[in-house]
Amino acid sequence: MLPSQKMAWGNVIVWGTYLIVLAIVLAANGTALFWQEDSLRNVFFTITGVAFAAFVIMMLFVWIRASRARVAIDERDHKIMNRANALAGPIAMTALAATSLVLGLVYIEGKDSVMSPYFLMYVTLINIVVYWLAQAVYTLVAYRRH
Amino acid sequence: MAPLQRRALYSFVIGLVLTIALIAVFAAQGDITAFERDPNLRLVTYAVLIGVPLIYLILVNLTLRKPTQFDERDRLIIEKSSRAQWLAVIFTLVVWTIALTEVYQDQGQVPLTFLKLIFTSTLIISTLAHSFGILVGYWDINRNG
Repeated sequence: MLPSQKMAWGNVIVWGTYLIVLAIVLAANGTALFWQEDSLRNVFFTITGVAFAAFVIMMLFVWIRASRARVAIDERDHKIMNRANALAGPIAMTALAATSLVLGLVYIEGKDSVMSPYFLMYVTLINIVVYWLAQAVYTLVAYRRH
Repeated sequence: MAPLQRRALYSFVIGLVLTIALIAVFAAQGDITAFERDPNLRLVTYAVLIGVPLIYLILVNLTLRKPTQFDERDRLIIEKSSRAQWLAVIFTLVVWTIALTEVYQDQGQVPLTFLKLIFTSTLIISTLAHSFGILVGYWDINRNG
């Protein structure tokens, strides 16, 4: 398996698990105002921190092994990586638009509507996670096709 | 100058001028919540929001539709520029998040207007960054081969 495929699998596992765990935690304990509860907020930060740490360790592990094995990246790998980036961008932007729309619909009450500052961080996180997931899924599909 | 490079440059310069004009209009208003009250401000914002991607689509996509003006190297550059585009989007979101969190820390609430402005600015910067990424790609290829 090539390093980019390993990274793609790592991304799918880390960020897929992150989203599933987050969904389970929020579905089991959450309310629409979960960011106001300290315990849930801490759980959210812990899950996010663990996911980022796992992502960094996975990337380092793959990178060190690829460097030691002196794996050469060919034209096909570059093409797949570039295409994956090109495809993931619009998907992440769509996720950003969808998140903004949902927040807008939930919190709009008039011209002076407000929301929690925490949501700004969630919007950024969603963009990053969706980008990495879309990139990884496309990479795996592309290698299977070629 | 390659056709795609020239069109990316036009798209970037026009987009940048429109963006600076929009920032100037907001600065002249002095209050971000004027976006909800002032229909003219909203119209200007929507015009730039539609204008910048539209100019990019017209200028750059026209080149993509002409196979004689577009080769494998151009395709590689345009695909590579997507990474710069995403980094610009993330950077924009991070700057908005830090700035608004700090400014509204005491109130604990951020006006919802900012959500629209965040999305608008992200879309505009994403388009500008794509054009900029294409220009950097050509510069890099001409420099390093």
